[in-house]
Amino acid sequence: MDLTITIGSKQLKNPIGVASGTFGYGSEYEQLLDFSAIGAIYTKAVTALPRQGNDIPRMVETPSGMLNSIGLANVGVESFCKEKIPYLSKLPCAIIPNIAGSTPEEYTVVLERLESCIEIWGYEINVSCPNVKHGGMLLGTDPALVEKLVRKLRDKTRKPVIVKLTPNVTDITEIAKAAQNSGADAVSCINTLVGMVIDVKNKMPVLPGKNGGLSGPAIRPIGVAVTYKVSRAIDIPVIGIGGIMNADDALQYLLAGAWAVQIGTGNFINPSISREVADGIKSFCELEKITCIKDLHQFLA
Amino acid sequence: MRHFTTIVTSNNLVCENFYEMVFSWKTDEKPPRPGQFFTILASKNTVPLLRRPFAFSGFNVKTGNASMIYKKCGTATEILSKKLYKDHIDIIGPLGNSFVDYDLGINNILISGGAGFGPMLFFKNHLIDIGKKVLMITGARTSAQIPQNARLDPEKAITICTEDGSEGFCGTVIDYLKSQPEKLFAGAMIFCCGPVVMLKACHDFASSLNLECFVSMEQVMACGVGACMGCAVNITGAGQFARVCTEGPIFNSKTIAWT
Repeated sequence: MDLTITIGSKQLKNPIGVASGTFGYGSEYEQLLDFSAIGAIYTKAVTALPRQGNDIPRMVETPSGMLNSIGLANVGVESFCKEKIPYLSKLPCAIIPNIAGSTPEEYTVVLERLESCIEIWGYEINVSCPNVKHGGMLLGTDPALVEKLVRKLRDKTRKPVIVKLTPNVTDITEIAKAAQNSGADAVSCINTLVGMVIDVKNKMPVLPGKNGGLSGPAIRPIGVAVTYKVSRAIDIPVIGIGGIMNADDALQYLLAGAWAVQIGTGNFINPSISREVADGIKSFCELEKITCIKDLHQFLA
Repeated sequence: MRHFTTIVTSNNLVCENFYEMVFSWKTDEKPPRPGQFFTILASKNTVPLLRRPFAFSGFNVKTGNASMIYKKCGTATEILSKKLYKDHIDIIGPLGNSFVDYDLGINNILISGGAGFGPMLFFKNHLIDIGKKVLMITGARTSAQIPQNARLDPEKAITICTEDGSEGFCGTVIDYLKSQPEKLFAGAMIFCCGPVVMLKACHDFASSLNLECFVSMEQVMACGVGACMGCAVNITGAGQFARVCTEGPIFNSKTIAWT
């Protein structure tokens, strides 16, 4: 069984990753996960300057899910390179920073600084965060803006560029095609869905920014459907994300057309879930005599 | 910290809606310290989805058992309240910092309200074990909401306050503090755990006497290990936040931006 996958010019040893925003900078889970079991860590989003994040409270649990409004709280690219990369670079898996910004220029500044860190495997471009007033999802809902931004970033690196898509659009395939046309090596989908929870007693939204991003098993069927649709609309690999809680959930994404998956909210419930998913996929494939990830794509028309 | 499955030793009602769960600390991880917390997975179903954080209410070196005193107030705690002897539970811990990470005073005053009782009981017992002077004050609306552990305390070091006067001092813990002569607080350090309104009142009281005050903060939590940035609280300085799970849960009350 060969679990390796190719994205752009590089390979990942297996298709399991931990999603940006749910795994900090890796060290937080040092005592809870054997990193050699996973293919990649998609780090907490990195912006040009440190960000404190949104007002509190920042999260609320929902039926089979959670709504968050963290607001890209992060240490900024300089501290990321100086303080986080030395640790991350020792880990036995690929390091994929998630790049975010308020303007296209900010994304460029971050990527250019990260290019000096040879340990970085590739980049995930976050054009889908629903919890910031500028950039994020606002960029990611316009195909022309996505194409322009990704082309600019593509020109500045030879490392794999993955574009993380928002499902909060009418036709996600338009955005995926824009990413492909501008030279992206893969797309990851989906980021969180915009949601709101209202405290009836106080007659106010629970989150100060009113909306948050919905994640967890509640959104898995949406993620699988989007993965199925996008994987048929573009030729570059799709990385499936949304509500994966076990190997069968991850296999749904792979059968739908994904080449890889990311586990997000599931890490909060079971920090070693990604190892268990990796083991489960391997067992399934051995049992079903599937020799590589591509073989999983043959079943659904 | 470790992620492990262990068994429940006992899980009993200690007062109205409050339970004490004792469980085996079956791990090579070092034992929990007062003020620290752990997360528990109440159910393998997706409702409730997230792990729930609870402070330790004790650790018995002889038996190797840890404990928590928790309030039944939602789906997760309803499930936990039904756990029986030998049931398996899924734990991550110990997490966060401890009261003992701070320099302790010669005169330590511990204040708890509601579900803040457990960690303060743990801290009180620790202070007695190391020979420190300690006074613990615990408050509730009424006598039925005072965990029985307060009355069974072998050292009789716990003062009970009830708002309706049904037991002990009649009034809140703050009313009690204000009713005491100032000399009681000479060189004292104040430690508190309970509702945020009570924590702020304790901070104000301590500030008025120029005493150091340490508070155990609470916030909704997702990961519990510092990764998600979800459990932030406001600290002093423009737009500044700290994570309850990692920088806390115990903070010097001066660093909290009280609103």
